[in-house]
Amino acid sequence: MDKTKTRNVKFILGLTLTGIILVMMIAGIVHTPYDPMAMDLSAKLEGVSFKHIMGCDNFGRDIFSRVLVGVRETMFVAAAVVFIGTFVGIIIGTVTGYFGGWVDEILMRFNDAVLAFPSVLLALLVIGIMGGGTKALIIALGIAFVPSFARIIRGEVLRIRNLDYIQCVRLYGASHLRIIVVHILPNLRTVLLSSVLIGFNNAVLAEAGMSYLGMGAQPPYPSLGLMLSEAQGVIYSNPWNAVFPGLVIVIMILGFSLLSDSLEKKT
Amino acid sequence: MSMLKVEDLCIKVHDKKTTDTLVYDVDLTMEKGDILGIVGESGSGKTMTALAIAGLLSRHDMEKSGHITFEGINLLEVPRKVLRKIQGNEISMVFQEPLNSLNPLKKVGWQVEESLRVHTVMDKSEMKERAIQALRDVELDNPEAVYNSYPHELSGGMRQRAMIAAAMIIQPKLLIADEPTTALDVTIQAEIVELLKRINRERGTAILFISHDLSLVNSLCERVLVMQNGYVVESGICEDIFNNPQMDYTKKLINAIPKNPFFKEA
Amino acid sequence: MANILEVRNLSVEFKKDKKPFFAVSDVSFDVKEGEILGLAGESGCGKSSLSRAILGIQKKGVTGSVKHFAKRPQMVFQDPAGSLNPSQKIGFILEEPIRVKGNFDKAERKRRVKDMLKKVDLDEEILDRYPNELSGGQRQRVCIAAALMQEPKFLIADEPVSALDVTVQSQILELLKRLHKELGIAILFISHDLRVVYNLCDRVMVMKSGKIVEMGELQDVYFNPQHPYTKSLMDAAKTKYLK
Repeated sequence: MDKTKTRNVKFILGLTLTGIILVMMIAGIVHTPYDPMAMDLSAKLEGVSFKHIMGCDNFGRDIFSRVLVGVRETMFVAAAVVFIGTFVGIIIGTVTGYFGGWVDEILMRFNDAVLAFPSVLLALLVIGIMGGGTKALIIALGIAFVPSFARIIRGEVLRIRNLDYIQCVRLYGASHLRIIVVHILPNLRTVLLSSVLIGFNNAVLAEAGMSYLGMGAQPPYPSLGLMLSEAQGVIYSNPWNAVFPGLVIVIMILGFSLLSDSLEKKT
Repeated sequence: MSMLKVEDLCIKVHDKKTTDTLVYDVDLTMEKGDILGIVGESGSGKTMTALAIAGLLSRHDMEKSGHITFEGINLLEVPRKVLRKIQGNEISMVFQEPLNSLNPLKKVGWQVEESLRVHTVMDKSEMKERAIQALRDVELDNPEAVYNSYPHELSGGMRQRAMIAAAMIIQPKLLIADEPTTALDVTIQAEIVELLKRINRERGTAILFISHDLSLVNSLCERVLVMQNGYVVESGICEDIFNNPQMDYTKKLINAIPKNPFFKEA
Repeated sequence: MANILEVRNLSVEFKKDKKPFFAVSDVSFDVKEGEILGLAGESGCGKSSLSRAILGIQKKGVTGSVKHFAKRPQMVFQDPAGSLNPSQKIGFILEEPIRVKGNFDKAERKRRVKDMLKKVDLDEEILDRYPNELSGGQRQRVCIAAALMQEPKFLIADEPVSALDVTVQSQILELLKRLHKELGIAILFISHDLRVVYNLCDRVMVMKSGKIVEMGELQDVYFNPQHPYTKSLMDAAKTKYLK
């Protein structure tokens, strides 16, 4: 009973935090109080007030509005990255796990090579080739995320394909495609759900990290990581410039972690 | 005073809204050196009863009522510390699937020693000696080799023998065996039953033997409880029940035993 | 009776710790139309490898010849939980064998599934349930039903009752007996329990360490065993199983 209780607390807390982030994201899409990119030098480094509830940055831009758009940006990038990662990961993982043999050997060795490469370095490489910007960041992080997904999926497919019911279906004379699509893929959902949630979290962090390093959204476009890096210069005089974007990142990660944690054990 | 006396044992499980009763009013007594069988189909409550006696039913959503008195101590009310002591020194348990009840990452010898490590102060060489002796006692050839191997390197029968060795190393007064032979070949089943018989004869260990197979129970036990849907429906001397079952359910269990071609209508 | 399966010099080789290891070595036998042939042996003797090689599930390391004279032999496994797709309803699982073949429309498939349910004594309400909502005996009935949907003439049953309670065991054995009589299918029945083999089969093979050490009519093998291993098995049965 204690365990279910903590799980429920985790679930509710996770849901609340994620809810806050979702509301912010929707606001970022629909309406922000100020134009997040409009500079107003008269409001330069203005403190927290009713007018600017999170204050203003070095260029007099409303931090609250920038955070809203930044959340939108981060969520979009993370979702796209996880989508690429899972999509390609499922294809590679299923093919290697199901067919095995030399296809497996080649793809998994390649996978290991990518996995062994630090993802930041890999992303740098892709961005170096493609030039900066959101699109390049998504592709770079997407590629970096594929191997871990592929490995998880492969392991699960390997386990399922040796279960007796797959042997039964093979004896019915079903095609490989049918076995994979109808009999294996639906059984991946539990594993997939938890790895997607964890992956999403990692993607949020990676996006923030990359744009902090200047390899994501380009100024003046707002992004949480970029805002943190811009706030660096004024961190002693105007700490809220860093605190608010940082806080939002923490809420995001915490919310998703709690949510994935509670969901994982429920299913 | 009996060694073990169970009176009016009820086990209820609370599942969100509804309450399920798994075991109703079970009574049983065991003296030192008894072999008692509990037989029934899956879902009959036989395993729950055994787990309750072993003190392993501590889930919060389970409610136990009645008395389980072991050597004068009511196990249902005793503090955890005392219960642990009894579990370590007096009551041991062997489970159905020996592969699941052994840690795959630890050598067999280490696991046989585990209860000595927890409950006694003993130096390593003495512990090893005791463990190897225990493995020898369960008739494993080459106990030193078994001591140094991992569970997956042993056959099912050998694993179950190792589990019995681990349970017997503390010289318990009561050994609870929950379907210890179900996952094994029939010939190995018979060997394990022989082994349990010998342990009981030579050491005087009382054995509570849980099974769905009445023929196994009959070849080992003196007395038997027949359980169905949480109730004890019939109990008494094994042979009497086997030869002259009163309840339809017991008859069904007996009829289900595959006929042995070498014992044509005895 | 004509043969429905001919196995000649079949071997299955595995690599164990880099050393070659024969799970099945040089096995030859026939299964006749409509008979129940028992395959008895202890676990690890190669029974399952043999059945997998016969059905072509295992291909690696298999040498020798397997000739099927009937289309699409089917198999029933030991663990009924693992032989059913956990995320599909029973209705879907039972339809799958004929859906894959693709020569019936939906209504006909449903009709055939319902017919099959009657044959294996299951209620129609089971169609909307998932495998984990069924008891072990019900699951094994579903497995048998699914195996029979394509109307095979030959079925391999690999320890189909070993994971079940004795009462359920006897029900499943009765079911197999009845289906064998009604449908005239041949069954290769694999078991470690000599009692079960005796009660179900017409002929029996005894396997040890990948080899078939004895094969013949039930009465001969049980009451006049020739090979020392068979003798020891029968002696064990005499003294140790009760009744």
